[in-house]
Amino acid sequence: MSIREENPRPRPHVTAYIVTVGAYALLLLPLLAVLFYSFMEPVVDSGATTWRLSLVWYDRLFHNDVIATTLVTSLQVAFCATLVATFIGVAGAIALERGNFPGRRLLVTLTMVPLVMPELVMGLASLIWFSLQGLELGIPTLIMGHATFALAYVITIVRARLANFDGSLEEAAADLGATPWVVFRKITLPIIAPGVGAGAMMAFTLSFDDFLISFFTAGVDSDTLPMRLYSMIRFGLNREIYALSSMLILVTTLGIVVSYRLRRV
Amino acid sequence: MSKRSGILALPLMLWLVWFLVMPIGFVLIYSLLQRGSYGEIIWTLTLDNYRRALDPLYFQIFVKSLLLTCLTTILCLALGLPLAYTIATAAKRQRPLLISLLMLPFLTNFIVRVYAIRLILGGEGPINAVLVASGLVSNPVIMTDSLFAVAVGMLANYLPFMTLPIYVVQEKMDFSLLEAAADLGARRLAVLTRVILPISMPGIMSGTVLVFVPVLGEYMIPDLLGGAKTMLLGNLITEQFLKVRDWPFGAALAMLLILVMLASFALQRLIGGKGGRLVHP
Amino acid sequence: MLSIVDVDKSYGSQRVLTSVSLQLGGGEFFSIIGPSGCGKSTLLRILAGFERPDQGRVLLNGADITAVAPHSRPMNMVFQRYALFPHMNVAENVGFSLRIKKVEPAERRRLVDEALNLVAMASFADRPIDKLSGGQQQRVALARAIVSRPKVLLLDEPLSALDLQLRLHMQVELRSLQRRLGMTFVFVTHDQSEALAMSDRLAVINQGRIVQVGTPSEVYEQPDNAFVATFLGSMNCLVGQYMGRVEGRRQHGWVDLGEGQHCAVRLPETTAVIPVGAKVQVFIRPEKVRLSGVGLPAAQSASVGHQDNELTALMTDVAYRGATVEFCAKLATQADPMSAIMLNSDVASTRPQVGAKVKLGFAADDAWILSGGASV
Repeated sequence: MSIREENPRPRPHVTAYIVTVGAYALLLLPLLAVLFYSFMEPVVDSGATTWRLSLVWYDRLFHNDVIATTLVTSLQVAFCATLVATFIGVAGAIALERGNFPGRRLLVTLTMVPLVMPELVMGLASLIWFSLQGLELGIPTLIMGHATFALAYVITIVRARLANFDGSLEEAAADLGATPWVVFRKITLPIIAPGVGAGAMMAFTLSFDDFLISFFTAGVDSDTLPMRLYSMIRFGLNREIYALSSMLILVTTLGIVVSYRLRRV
Repeated sequence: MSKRSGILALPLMLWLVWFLVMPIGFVLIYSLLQRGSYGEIIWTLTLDNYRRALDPLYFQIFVKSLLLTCLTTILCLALGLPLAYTIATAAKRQRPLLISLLMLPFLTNFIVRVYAIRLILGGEGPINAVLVASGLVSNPVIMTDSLFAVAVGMLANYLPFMTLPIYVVQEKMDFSLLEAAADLGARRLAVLTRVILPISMPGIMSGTVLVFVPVLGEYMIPDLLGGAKTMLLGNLITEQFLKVRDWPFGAALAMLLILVMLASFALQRLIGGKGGRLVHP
Repeated sequence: MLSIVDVDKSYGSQRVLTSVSLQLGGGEFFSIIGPSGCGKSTLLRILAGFERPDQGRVLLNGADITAVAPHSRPMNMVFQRYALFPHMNVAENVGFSLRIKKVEPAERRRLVDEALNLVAMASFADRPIDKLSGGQQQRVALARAIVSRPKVLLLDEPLSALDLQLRLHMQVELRSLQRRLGMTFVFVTHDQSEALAMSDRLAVINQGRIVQVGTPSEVYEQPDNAFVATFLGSMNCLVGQYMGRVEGRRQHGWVDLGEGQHCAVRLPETTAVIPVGAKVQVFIRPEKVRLSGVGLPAAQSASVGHQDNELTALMTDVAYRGATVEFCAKLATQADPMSAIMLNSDVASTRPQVGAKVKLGFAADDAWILSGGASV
């Protein structure tokens, strides 16, 4: 089978190019601005403010214990929620994509709900439910809340991956003598591995990034990093945020570049 | 295979029933209950919370939120369509890179993104720096803490949600259709309205839902960019739960949000027909 | 050796197979052929164990294997789109079943090499699957299915994804591979020329029922019904009225085609007597029809013996097809034109023009008759 070359596609109208440049500016300029200001220190000199290059915000960031604590909480929650979401999600995705059992369609619809339900509703619904059961809010409730929406993303990604591969692959393996467990280990799992990785990464990112659900389901001593960020911003300008944001941007960018390189190999 | 896979789905089923169906069910139930004077729940059924939600004091917040959401969605569409088309027509090798760029802010912390908009529009920001330096204004123009800032924030945050589903559809489009249309005498505008737009419709519908629903329930953007004067639905609901502690009223407002969401899905089905399948980024 | 006994299968309310029974011999190349959606793939999946019949049994050497799981059946399948494992290379794919059976590595390597040699792919052992052409993938799928020497090889339209040249080539190779291995092949296809060219015997399926089983020449030359007649190869069909036996000839009868034209046809041996005056269909293969006056004198006498029938028709089309020439001519009373296919080397260079009046000749033995209601 030869790989079919794509016909050249038409060039869009010049206004489309202008909009494109504007849109990318809108999306990327704020990030650049944060990067820029993280290295700038204002100096007030006889009423006028001037700016100079400085690493003072990074220095303060590294000496901020509260941020370190919330970072640990965030990592803990994200790790556990990812673990739960990945295990339940992968099993569920295989069942939904390859199986045919009563209630399958309903379950498919249910898994879509967290994708479309506003985060706010997910958060307050969890709060109501947990408080009804008399659960004390804290890291466990955070994990349960995060795992539920992360689950939906894991399933969507793994199902998409499975759908790209013919079910006859698994049939072929069974036909060649593999028992169901061997089929799963030798065929299904290796095939969906990239999807499982991508799904888990997505789950981790979403949990780590989440504010609103945490806002509703976190307890007194279980603030996550985004919650800490929020209160820092909400109650007075705190320029360490620039430094922290810049580091998050750099880490994310690095992640994208690496995964892009990996995919091309 | 099918019997075994039913067992594989069991944990998922249990988890979703326990952590999704039950909680949302109780939002509905709570919306029909009463609040005691100390914020406790009184288990008597009433429609008071809904009646109160329709009170002009609160209803105008709902209407304002709805209008802003519509505006945001339209802006996202106006920018997202040409953006998606430009990416879809770019050279095959460039497309993943352009999409990654689109996702770059996406994967950075949401609060950072919103805060960055504040920085851009603020008195210390680059826009004001240019304005002051060029002598157009003598003092920085404060653009934050306004509906304008909220709209910019929404646009900057939700544009990728609109662009990606449209791109997914357009990227797979058979571009010889455009040549065929031109060959049959269609001019540029006709090619756009009669070929490109109808084919992109499933993506447009998905994008619209992906933008409309979360924007209506948005809390952070109005909170950080709108200032104290700008109260939108998301903030109103959050306040009921975390500050005022009137959970039944908050639940009723949340039900309103769910209703709008369901209506938008129904509308999507109605317009999109068979192409109404959600395309997810 | 392999028997299918009275198998029924439905999906929901849709009946897919109805009382299907087949007997396959050892080392036989057996084809199952029918239009798409006729149930032939379902039958193959029942043999492989992917589907359970609602009723009926599958027997292998007398043992009932109806309920045996796919992985415990000594039959392997070549899938329509090959189903090669994308995360393994050629040798790993071929060696998969040996690995499952815990065959030791040295022996495994020997068997994989042998299988790859059989399909002429030995030099590709270390290639990743996505670096193979369609034809090469086909060979790997074949090697993978035969490496552990199953008793039966099931092939689900394995050639349908290949282009014509390659398909013809693979037909020959598959056939010779089957002879060398002495394995039973069950070959599902919708391509009638493929089935005729390759099979020892074949079964024609329509709408979930087996309509005829036989050798290719039996099924082609003596179709049991109108479906088989028209599904395998091209066929002329004339509509007329049965007029009774030809005097002095037991097995021939007369059919009135209207406007004074009639022809003698062979009568079916088994079916009931056709009442005189009944509406009937007459079938004649195009290659059995001769256009009088265009044949070279030498060929004329050699290829055409006695011609019982000569019908007058108007020439509507001449199609040059390289080795053969197809003439189409319309009888005044028939809806469809009749086609006559003649070898190019038998046809003189001067040919009748479109619109010319021509005579179509054929032997009574080459035309057979089915009464109008009998069409399936």
